[in-house]
Amino acid sequence: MVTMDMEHIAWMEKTFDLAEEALKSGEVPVGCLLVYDGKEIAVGRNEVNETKNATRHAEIVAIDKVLKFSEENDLDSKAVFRECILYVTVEPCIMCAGALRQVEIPLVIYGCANDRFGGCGSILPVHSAELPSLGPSLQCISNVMAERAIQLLKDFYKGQNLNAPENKRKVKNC
Amino acid sequence: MEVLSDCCENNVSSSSKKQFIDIFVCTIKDKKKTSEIVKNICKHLPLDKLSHLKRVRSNTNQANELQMIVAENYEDDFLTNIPGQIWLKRMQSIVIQQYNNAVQYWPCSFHEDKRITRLLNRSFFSTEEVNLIHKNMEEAISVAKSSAYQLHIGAVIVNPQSDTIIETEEKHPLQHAVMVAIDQVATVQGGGMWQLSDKCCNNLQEESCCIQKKDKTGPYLCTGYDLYVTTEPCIMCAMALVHSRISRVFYGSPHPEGALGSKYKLHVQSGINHHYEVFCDVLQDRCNKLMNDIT
Ligand SMILES: [Zn+2]
Ligand SMILES: [Zn+2]
Repeated sequence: MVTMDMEHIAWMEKTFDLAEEALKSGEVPVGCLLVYDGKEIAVGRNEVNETKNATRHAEIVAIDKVLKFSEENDLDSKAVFRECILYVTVEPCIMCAGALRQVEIPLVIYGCANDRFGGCGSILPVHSAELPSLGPSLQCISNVMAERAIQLLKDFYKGQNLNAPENKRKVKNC
Repeated sequence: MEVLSDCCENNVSSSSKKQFIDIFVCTIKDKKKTSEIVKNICKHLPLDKLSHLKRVRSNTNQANELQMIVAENYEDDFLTNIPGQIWLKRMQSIVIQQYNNAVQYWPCSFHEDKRITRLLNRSFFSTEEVNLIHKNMEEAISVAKSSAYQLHIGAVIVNPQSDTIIETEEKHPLQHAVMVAIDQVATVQGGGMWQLSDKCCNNLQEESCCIQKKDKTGPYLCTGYDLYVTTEPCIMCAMALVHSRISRVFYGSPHPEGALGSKYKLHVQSGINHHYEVFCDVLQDRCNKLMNDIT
């Protein structure tokens, strides 16, 4: 693991608690947390099953919550996003990496790589690509407590197999 | 026209270039022994990369003799007295033009990819289908003109089976036309994340009733549906369509940062578990005009 700020580690611990909660309720165990001005302002976990919308990833849920937070606190959401740090247990997918650039979040700190859909280098480097009309590039710090993130995903897929779901729906999308 | 993968486009354009490699060929003087010889050689020297080639052909000069491919790059002394070294096509032929080209050099077993051949001949869609595609893109253009979401970009998602439109509409940075259209499908299926106004989903309320009657779960996400969008989707939207399992995407204008042909070809990106078909340039002049209207 990279040496890093104890503050980052503490937030990451908290993000893992969210992912574990998700696992307990049978959802894909990915958690994400947004910190602004030293405070947690939004959390998110995968809500694909509830919303029947496959784009409802943890990051998208959290972005919606930041918009709500900004509105309730009478803040300019654009300015809030530009000061945010996003903690997430798994590398954001290609879509979410694009969404993070669109709202201009500058920094993402994540656990393990996403070999299926990763948008911060695993499948495509959306975080750093030349995409000026989408938004500024996204700085990433990867491999933070990666083993724990991988173990969570393993536990999830193992559980899925045990339940032998008749509907494929439940195994999809992290 | 369809946005094909680079590898497919290269295969097509290379039909005129002719790609050849060296192979070693020998003569079978006693035709009766052919099957025995071929059986043996296939066992010991299989033609892995050249499996589309027939192993044996008749010798054009000697009617009672056959020629057989021994191997590609076989470097044993044992072969030094085998006559000839001929040039031949290396790639598997995927379209008829390539096949015609290849058989001049050596007979091939040929499996035509009919779909790609039709695409190349521009006869992929029937006139009725083209009319329907235009009608649906007209709908996307009218959404673009009235859109409360992404400026001057419209998107509709259509079920091509029943031709019902599952369409789209405080600014939200992620509410690109495509993301909105996807969420409207989710809303119709009893989900949804943005509580969008359903005033433009008239056609679809009906369909959703049908879906609920027939099948409690409805289709899985956008499986079997087509998306029409006036401008090439960005990387976020293109990946959202992968997650949503869309079947086909039709767009009007290209975008320099677009993810379905311009900057990326996400629909054929390797390593991704779902691929969809993409057709561009649908009513392109009118879609271009929408974009020009902003600037
Ligand atoms: Zn994602
Ligand atoms: Zn987009």
